[in-house]
Amino acid sequence: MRTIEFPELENIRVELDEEFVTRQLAAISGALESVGPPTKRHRLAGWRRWMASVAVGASALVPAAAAASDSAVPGDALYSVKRVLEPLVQLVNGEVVAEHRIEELEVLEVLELDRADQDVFDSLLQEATDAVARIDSPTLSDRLDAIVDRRRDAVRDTQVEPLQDDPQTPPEQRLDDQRGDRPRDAGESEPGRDAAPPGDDTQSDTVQEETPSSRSDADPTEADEEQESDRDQDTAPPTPVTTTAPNVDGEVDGGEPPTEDVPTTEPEADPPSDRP
Amino acid sequence: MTDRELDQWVDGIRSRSDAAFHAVYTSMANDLVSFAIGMISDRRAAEDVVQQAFLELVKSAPEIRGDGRSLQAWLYRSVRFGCLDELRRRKRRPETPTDKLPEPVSIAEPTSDLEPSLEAALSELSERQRVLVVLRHVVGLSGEEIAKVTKSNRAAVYAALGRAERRLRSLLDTEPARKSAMGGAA
Repeated sequence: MRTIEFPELENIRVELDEEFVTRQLAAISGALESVGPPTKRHRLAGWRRWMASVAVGASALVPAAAAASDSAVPGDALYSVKRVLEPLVQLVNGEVVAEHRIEELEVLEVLELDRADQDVFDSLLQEATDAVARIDSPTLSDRLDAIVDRRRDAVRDTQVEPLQDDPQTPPEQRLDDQRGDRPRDAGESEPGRDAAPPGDDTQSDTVQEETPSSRSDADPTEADEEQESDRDQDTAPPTPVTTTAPNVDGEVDGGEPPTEDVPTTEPEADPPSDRP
Repeated sequence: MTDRELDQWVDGIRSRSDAAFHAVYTSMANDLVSFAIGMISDRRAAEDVVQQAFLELVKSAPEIRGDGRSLQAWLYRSVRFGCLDELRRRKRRPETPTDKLPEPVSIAEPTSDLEPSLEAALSELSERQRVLVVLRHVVGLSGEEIAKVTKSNRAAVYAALGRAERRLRSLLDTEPARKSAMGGAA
C-alpha cells in the first residue's frame, strides 16, 4: 500500500561499515559473558514469575497462619484467619472443623460467659453438631455429648440461682422455693396448735374452734371424747410429730398467725419434737 | 533475514547464544539504525540507541516470547523508546560546549544528518506519525509488521499511515516555497 512515494526519505537509510559492526558485536559478546547463561529463575518471565512468587509466598504463609490461629476462639484477632483457612486444612484433615468447634466450645466453657458469648456458644454448638454429624468419629461425638450435658446443667443452674441470690425475695419465699410445694400430711399440726403450751386451756380451745378441719380425718366421736378428755385432764392433745421447721418468728408456712394469747417465743423454747 | 531465519535464532537469543546475537545484529542493525536516524536525525546517537537496545536484549533475552517476528518487533520498540528518551533529553538539555560559557548569539543547534527541509518536515509530524512513516518508507516494513511494532491492528496502521503520508507530502511540498519566500525576504 504505497500510495505516496517519498524519495527524500530513501536518503535516510544507512549501511553500517564492518569496523563499526565488529565493535558492536564485541560489545554484545562482552555483555553476554558478564550476564552469563540464563538461570531457571530467568526462564520464568513476566506474570509467570509473579504467579510463582505468589504461590511460593502463599505456601509459606498458609501453614504459618494456620499454626498461629489454631488455638484462636471467637473474639480473638486470628479467629477469622482460622475460619478462612479451615476449608484448606480440611482438604488434608476432614475432621478439622469438628475438632475446632469442639475445642472452642471447651475453651468457652472455662471462660466466664456473658449474654453475647452465650449466643456465640449456641452458634458454635450448632456448628459442631453439624460437623460431627458429617464425620464418623466416636471420640468427637463423645466430647460433644459431654459439652451438651454440661451445657444443659449450666442452663438449669442459671434458672434457679437468681431466686436464691435475689435480695428482694423474702426469706419465706426462698425457703418455699427450696423446699418445693410438698403437700402437708393429714396429721401434720398447724403452727398455732403446735405452739400451744401444755395445760393452756384457752389456747387449746381456741385452736380447736378455729381449726376444726385440722382433725377432720379422725372419727368425730373419738374426737369429741378426746376433746372432753383433754379439757378434763388439762393435758395437751396427742399431736403428731411434725417436720416443719418454724421460722424465726415462730410461724410456719401455711399456718394461722399466732393469736395474742400465744407467746411468740414459745415454739423456740419448746419445739414440737421435744414434747412428751 | 527472513522470518523463517529469524525464527531459527529466537531460541538462541533466549539462551543467550553468542552466535544468535551476532546473526540477529548483523541482519537487523542497518534497519534499526536507519529507523533511529529517521526518528532523531542523528546517526551517532542512533547507533548508540541501537547498541543500547541490543544490550537491553542481552538482559531480557530469557523473557522474550513468541517467534522471530515478535523478536523483531521487540527490537524496534526498544529502539523507538530509546529515541524518545534521546529526544526528551535534548529538550531538557540542549547540547552546548561545557568548557566555556556559551556565547549569547552562538547557541549550538542539535546535529542533524538529514536535509534541513526533510528534518523540518519530519519534526512537524507527531511522534506516532513519524514512526509509521519511517518504518514504512525508510525500513520498508509491511503494514502487518508495523502493526506488531506499534501494538495495534493493521487497519488502524493503514489509516494512520495514510494521514501521516498526506501530511508529510504537504509539508515537503510547502517547505521549498516557504524557504524561497524567506530567502527572498532576506
